[in-house]
Amino acid sequence: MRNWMLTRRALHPLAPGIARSFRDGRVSRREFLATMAGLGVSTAGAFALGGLTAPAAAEDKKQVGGTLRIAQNVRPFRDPRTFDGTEIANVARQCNEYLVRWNPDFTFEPWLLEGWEVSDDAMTYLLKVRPGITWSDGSPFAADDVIFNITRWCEAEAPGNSMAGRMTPLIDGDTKLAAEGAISKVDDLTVQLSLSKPDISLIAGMADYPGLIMHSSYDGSDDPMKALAITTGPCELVSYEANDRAEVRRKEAPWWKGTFALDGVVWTDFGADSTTMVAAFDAGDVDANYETPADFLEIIASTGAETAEIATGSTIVARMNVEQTPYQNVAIRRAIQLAVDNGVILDLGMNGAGTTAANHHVGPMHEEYADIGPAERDLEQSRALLAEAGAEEMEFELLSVDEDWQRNSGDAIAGQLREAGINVKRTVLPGTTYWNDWTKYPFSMTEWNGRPLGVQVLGLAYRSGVAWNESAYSNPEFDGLLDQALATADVEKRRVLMADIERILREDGVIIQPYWRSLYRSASPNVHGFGAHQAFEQHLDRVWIST
Amino acid sequence: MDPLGTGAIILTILGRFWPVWIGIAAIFALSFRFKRRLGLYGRLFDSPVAMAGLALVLFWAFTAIFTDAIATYGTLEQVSQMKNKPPGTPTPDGTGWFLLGGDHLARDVFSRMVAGSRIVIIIAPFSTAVAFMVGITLGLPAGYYGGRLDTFLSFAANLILAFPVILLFYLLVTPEIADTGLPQYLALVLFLFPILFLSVFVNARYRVTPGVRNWALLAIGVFCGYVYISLVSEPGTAIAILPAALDAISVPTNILIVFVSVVFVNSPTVFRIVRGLTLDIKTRDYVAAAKTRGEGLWYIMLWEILPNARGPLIVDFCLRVGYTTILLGTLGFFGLGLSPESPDWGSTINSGRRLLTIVPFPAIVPAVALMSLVLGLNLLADGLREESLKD
Amino acid sequence: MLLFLLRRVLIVLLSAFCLTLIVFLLTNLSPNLEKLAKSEAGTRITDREVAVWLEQHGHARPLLVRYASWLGLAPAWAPPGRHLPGQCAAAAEDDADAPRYCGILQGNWGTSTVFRGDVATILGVRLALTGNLMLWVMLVMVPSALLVGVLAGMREGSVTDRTLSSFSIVTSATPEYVSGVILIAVFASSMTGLKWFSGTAGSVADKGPSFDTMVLPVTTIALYGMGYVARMTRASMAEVMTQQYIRTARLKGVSFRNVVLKHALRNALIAPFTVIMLQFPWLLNGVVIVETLFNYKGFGWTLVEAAGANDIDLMLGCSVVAVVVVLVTQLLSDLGYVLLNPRIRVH
Repeated sequence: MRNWMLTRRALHPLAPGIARSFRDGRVSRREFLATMAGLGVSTAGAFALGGLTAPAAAEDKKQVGGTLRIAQNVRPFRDPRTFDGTEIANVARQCNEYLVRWNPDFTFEPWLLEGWEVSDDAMTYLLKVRPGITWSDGSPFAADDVIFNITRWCEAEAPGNSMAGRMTPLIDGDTKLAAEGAISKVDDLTVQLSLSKPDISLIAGMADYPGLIMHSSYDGSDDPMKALAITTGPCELVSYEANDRAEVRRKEAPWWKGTFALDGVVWTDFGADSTTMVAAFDAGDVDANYETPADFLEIIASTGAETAEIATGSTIVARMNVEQTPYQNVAIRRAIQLAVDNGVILDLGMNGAGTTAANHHVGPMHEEYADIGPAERDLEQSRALLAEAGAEEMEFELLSVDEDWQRNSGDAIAGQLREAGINVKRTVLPGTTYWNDWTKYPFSMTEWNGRPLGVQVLGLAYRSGVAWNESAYSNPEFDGLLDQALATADVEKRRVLMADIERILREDGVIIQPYWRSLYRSASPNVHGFGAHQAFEQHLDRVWIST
Repeated sequence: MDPLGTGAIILTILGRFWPVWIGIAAIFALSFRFKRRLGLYGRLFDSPVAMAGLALVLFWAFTAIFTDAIATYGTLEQVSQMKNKPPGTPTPDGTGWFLLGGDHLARDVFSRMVAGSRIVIIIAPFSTAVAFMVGITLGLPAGYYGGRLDTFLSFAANLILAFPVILLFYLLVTPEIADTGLPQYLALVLFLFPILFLSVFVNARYRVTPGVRNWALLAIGVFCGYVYISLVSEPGTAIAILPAALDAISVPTNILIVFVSVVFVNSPTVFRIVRGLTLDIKTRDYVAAAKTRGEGLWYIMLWEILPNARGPLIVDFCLRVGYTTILLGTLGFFGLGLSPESPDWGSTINSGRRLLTIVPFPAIVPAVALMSLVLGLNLLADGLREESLKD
Repeated sequence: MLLFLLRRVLIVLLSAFCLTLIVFLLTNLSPNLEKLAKSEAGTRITDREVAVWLEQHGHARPLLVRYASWLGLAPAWAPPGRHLPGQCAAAAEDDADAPRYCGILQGNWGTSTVFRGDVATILGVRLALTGNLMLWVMLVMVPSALLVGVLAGMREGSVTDRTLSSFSIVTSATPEYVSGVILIAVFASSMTGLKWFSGTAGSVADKGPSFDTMVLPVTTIALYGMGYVARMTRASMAEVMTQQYIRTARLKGVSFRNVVLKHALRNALIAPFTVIMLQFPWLLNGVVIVETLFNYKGFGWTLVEAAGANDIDLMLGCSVVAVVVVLVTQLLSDLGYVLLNPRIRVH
């Protein structure tokens, strides 16, 4: 049998079962690929196991040269492990790189790692460093660099370090640092991770945008010129002016991966208002953008730009904080949830660009998704519950950030609630203010990016006491089931658990999750290979400009 | 139902405004009838410019009064399938039309524009009036006494005027500042001026007849005092003097903040105008005559100087209401202050301009409304100025 | 005269002092400091982390000490650790050499948190861009406003007068956010397909101004401003035209054209001159709206960015600039009035 793994080990015992589920149509393509990567199966292997035809590697005749101009916010630079938006990462990732890359076809591509090997019990990971990569100062990229970065990620006490949440099984609960012996060097090109409990989402976490690999001389500085002085990637940073523009240019030295077609890239900040972004397309000042809001598809098309779409696990939730008055009362939460028709929110908030969701934050894009039926609008029950709670006259305040689609979705939810006879007050706060207290608002809207696995999101957002648990949701039964699911690599078994998890979450009325978004981004017709990405990542090594 | 054509839309809209037409016609008829007895106001009807201005202003004033009769839908009513629809589109249930189309949340643009007039018509003149009371109460003594008081007040006024308005709004209107209660404390100070003004005004006039004076002052004190406390106090905020049950006038905090900021920005300008006029008028003979008669200082200021400064002040009042309307729009433009779903014109222009190039109506309708009201006020001010100069 | 100037300069300084103190107080209210900490250290940090961050960056000192250190009257903040963040960092590479005082009085305007740079440098760059915009606005607005005003006031009550007066009333009733939106829709969008000009000026900061990018922002500001100046000019012109000496000149048989050009204009332009000078502070406001609308990265745009993120040093810098601009133009307008008008003498 051919070796389908990334390393020279036998096929992971869970792989054939998942492949079977996939071939039987119980697991979606995307999730199948995510799990295969999680188990250390190579992309080619996953395609073979799943009976898929690997896409022909269409090596276009890339034209070298030209500067790509992208409309995107240029947020102030900070320590990569504390990145709080894909935008900063999009600049930085042209200079430095990631261990693993999450491709737009939802496959995981080994990048600075050559491969990884996961033990049968998912407790031990062997990371194989790709040989032959050098830092721009001439030193080789080796196991020590990987250890340096993972150790930094594990510093749970560092303010704003979100990588710690993804590395939980490596962290000592007392010291809040990497546990003794959790990260060890096997040889110059191999690192071993020993987990305190099984976790199949570790590799996916490393591909997330804060997981940028920094040189071991990095001291956490928020000066991008210093932070990105020694790099492995194809470009070097020319300038980084926060809220204004950033620029990179191709290095003189060849890049380990091959050709980087663009001479350079410039990002210009056009503020939060998409109108100026469109005007910039109209004026020919930019070639591509970060995102095209669904409302603007028509306008942007009229400028001659071409738009790519990708259906994703990105979503928005109107969550109620179960520790704040009056949302401690489950009857009130359910009454609000039942008063909303998710389809209308999709239509008004997103211009219909997406699919309706079912108020439990797991969807058909997740492999372990269990279909427990759509969330139905039930005005009578809603009214009855509200009466039971004695809250018919109560006024509810729904907060959201001042960003086009999020604000519109909030207004649309408010409209639905009013139609159901519930008093609602809307408050919209500017982004700088909104995120100050985002986990503490009683009833507010939060955007969530897609994660490859359903359990990943639930673990990040609804487990008792975790940093991003904005609803303060705490249900021991839910936590217990979730722990079980996280340790269950077999999709079919996990799905059974998920059905209960989803039902509990929905019936506790924690969130209104109206839809899953489709994401769009646009580029001029002479820009090739830009496409869309489920997490807004810009893989510009694929991009070239024709003249 | 079929979509309406342009002519039908215009006719229907004109029809919807019937209470306004009746109102304007009644006012004009009465004014023409008693033109000679109405002083400066009556003389407006000699000038076509002033009449046009007055008609525009009355149009919006009546629209604000009769909003409920004119609007076809609720301001927050979302009718599904009506998102971004062009003017004259019938609603799916066939009960009516969106006369000027639907906005990005499937709400009726026409009804929102009509309802928006109410917010502007309430906030703009009242905040300007308060600003005038503040400006007059401080400007009269500053101009009349001069000296240190004048130096200090003028310096303070110039200081506020040197602030870029938008920076000031950002400093006063952000949610963080609102939480500290600062705007409410400012309201506490600013709203004191109208009471002060009225008391002094009455006191100066009836000083010689204590019987009348005491009763009048008591009435002012009780009534205005209650309104004052009730306006400023809001349960659950930094200033909660009255319990909710006694709090007759409940002003949402964000409206109060907007109101206060606008007053704060306008007062120094009014102060400067009043001060300038006082400096000029205090040299006149009738002021000297009053002095010799032994009248009190406040009597001279309020009953001799102020009435003679009324011409320029009335003109400036009209202009300033227009300016305030523009300021309110500016606040909406920067997303400061007013509630996010509020139908006020500034906010609707701001949210409509996003999709302006494909769906122009949601932005252009309130823009034209705002422009016409400001234009009306400017024309009226022009007419007033011309007529008052004819004296 | 010298005394008069000295007095005015003192007033400017005193105003700047008071204003910055007020701005300092407002930006240093505790919720605003929390906002600053969160936008610096991460939006999703805990309250304890906020307190630590504030402590580490010297925001926990008494308010007046912080203000004095911004002024340069108290020692700058230096944390126990190695490097000096904030004010003195730029002054010296090595801690030992760093001066203890580095505020405004030492010529150090502090560090912007939004733009991550020296406030003086940022303001310099942004003001140059805004200056450029203002220059063009003035070049367009002043001549056209004067022309409209003079033509209208020349023959009061004529058809020309009525038309031009209506035009100026309409423009002064159309705020920038209305006219800007309409101008973009008509001249720069795919809606009408005209696309004559650019609807954004975001590239000016990189590529320098071009006709294409500047037309709409300049027109938007100039339109709103010119109505007012034109009306002032008209009033002044109309008044001059009724004066005795004009009538005398007309009776002597001087042609109407010569009366206007040689006799009336000079006197009619005194009042508009002061008005035009006083337009500068007002322009500063108009500029904020237009720069935001067109993404023109000048002073106004910087101000909005700074205010949105509670960037203390930058906002203080902006207020100093604003108050100086306002008061200096007032001074110039007073001086100009004196110089232009032979009837006034300053003793």
